[in-house]
Amino acid sequence: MMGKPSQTMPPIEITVLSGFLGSGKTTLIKNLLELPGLEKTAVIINEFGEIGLDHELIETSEEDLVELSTGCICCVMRGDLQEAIERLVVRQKEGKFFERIILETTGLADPGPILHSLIYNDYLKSLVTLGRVIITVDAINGLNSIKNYDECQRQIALADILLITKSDISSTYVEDLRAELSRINPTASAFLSNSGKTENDLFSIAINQKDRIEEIIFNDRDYHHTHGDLHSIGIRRKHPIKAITLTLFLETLAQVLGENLVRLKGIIYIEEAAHTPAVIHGVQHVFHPMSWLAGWSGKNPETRLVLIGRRLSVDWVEAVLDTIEEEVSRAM
Amino acid sequence: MTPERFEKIMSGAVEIWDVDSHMEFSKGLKCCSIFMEDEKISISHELAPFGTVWRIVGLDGKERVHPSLGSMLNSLSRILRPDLPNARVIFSR
Repeated sequence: MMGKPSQTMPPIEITVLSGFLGSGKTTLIKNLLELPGLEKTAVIINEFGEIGLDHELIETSEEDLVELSTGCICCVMRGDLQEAIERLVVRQKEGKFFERIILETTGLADPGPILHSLIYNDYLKSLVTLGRVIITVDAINGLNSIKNYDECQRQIALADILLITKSDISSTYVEDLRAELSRINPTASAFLSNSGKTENDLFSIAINQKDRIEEIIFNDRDYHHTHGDLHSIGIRRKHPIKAITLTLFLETLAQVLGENLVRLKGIIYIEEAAHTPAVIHGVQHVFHPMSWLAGWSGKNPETRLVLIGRRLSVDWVEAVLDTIEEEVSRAM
Repeated sequence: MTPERFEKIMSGAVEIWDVDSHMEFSKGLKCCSIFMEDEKISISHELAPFGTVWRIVGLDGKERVHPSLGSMLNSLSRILRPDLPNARVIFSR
């Protein structure tokens, strides 16, 4: 462990880039580093031997895990990743200025534990601030990887931005892949990326914003899916929810669903703050600080919640929320 | 709490936990029995002046009383699936 760097500097934005084996992460990074405006980007790579990026700012880390002080079984992260971030921050302190860090995970990584650390670990949060999660999905093999590899599904579920790669080689399955990505994670924006070139500036796309969440197409209740597959469900409420109800509801979801809940995102119409929509965003049971929007933009207030995971049922989630609402009303 | 909602919650929870069992509802659907091989767990709810009371009679015959749906489900998950990790919501600052 290195000595702790100065914490007087503002945290550097860190982007997590993941994607299944061979889905084009490295090609994307190579291209990104050549773009004007992205010169001051540091990169942390987890995969040894996969590439040889000729870039002076590359940091590598090794394959060990350490448990965080929370004692939570899923809140583990690579100790060497923390050291790599520290080295970059020390370098920044010594005069090498970075605007952002891109962290490339291994192709088989579940980004969940890394995101937990970046969201929840106070020390890491003093060094870096989580920007966005970008996931690459191969247009040729993507559907097959989703079908056969749990890791691929979990990566997609945790994405803010999904990049469909290699569609210039074959576009046969692109529309089917888009539909599958939307089914797993309707909250993520999906774009094409060919030969590492993207159709949008990945660092200026708004994420976790009200407009984006409001665009979400809620799955049909009769949608059929294989029982163990990751899928998403949407919940709407036109009446306001008491803050304590929301807390108890999230607690119950986390306890009952456990690892079946991969992601939860939404806008909440809270009774005690009816004019300011609350935005919640959680990775499994670890949530970003709740943020508040200025207003409802002329639209009728409405809670919209998207859950991504396994064994999720709209009817069950609504029944639980209805019951907790009743219990809170009786108790007050 | 309607009988339909009670059934929905209990059936849904058992399905989420992937418990090999079958369920029977009785007493006007206010009581649910979960049968696993030769074992049986009973869950019931009733309205008290201060709110809903949830009761679980577990494999050991001991009665556990809970004041809310959330605490009942949490307790039931530990009985039915003690192997599952227990997650608590954490809000980052």
